[in-house]
Amino acid sequence: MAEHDDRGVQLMLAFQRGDNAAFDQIVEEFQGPVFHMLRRLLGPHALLEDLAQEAFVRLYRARERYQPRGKLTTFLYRITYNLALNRSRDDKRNKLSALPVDDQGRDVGLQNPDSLTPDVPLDQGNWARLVANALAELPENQRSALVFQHYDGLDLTEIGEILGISPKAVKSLLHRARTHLRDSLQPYRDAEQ
Amino acid sequence: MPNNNDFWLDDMLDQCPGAEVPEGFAERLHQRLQHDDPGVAEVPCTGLADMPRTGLAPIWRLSFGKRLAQAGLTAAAALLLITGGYWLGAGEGSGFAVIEVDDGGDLAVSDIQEIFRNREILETWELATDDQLEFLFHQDDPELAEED
Repeated sequence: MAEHDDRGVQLMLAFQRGDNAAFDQIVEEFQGPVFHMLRRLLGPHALLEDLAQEAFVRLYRARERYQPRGKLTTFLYRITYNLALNRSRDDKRNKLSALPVDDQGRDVGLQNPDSLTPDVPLDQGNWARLVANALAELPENQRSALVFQHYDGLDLTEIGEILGISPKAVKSLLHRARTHLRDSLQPYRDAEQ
Repeated sequence: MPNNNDFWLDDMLDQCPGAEVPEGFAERLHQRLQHDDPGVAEVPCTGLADMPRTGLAPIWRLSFGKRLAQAGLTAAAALLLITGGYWLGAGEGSGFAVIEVDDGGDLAVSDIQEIFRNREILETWELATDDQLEFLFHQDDPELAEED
């Protein structure tokens, strides 16, 4: 079967057979993508490590019931996405816990998008901040679809499986996300030229 | 920096950084797994069939003898509950105080006659005015009689 060719699936099946070293290998290979995804979905957040840990703990506990349908990344990303979604909703209910922090967990204060204007020359760090702000302003589902497509290289079907929608709906989300981003970032691009 | 081609947006998106994996993440994850479920990380679990049986195991996993014993215990517990319930409830009798009431007959007739007699006496008393009663009282008391 095609999914058994997937490296992640092979490792998960080995773990299911009792090979605990295979789980360590899964963590080693997928911890980076999980952290990147959480960071891009939630922005700077104090609980990124807790959420990443929880994602792998749930994968660990899913050993008995795991069935190789598609890639392991789709399964793991779905767990991670649901955790991020729940956290995002909790943060909206309780604004205090959503104060942004840097990668070391330090409070960096609220980012003000107005502090970056097209007439101010942007360096590399500011470009990153600008794109991060533009991503953060997207609706949750558009941002998620774009992150999965652009950064994780997932196709429409895989994104649809994670978000629980059809590939056609994913395509529509991606179109709207790109339109919004283009509108937000175009003035800065024009100013750079 | 963004390029001038049609993919400038993707180039811009590439500027957005992910998150570095904190040092020691895998170790902390392993510690948490061991803390949450000690022994699981060391001893591979091969499925529900290898888990030790407990008294709360599903009935289809028990032998015939154990099923019979379980049924007997259940029946004994039910009998105990019913017996105790009867003793505490219906078997103990009514919780309300019982008031004995005569069922009529001769006694009731005599009671009614007495009531009528008493009524007649009361009616004769009502005929006497307050002045008459006071006069009678004064007659009985010599000091009050002198004042009059």
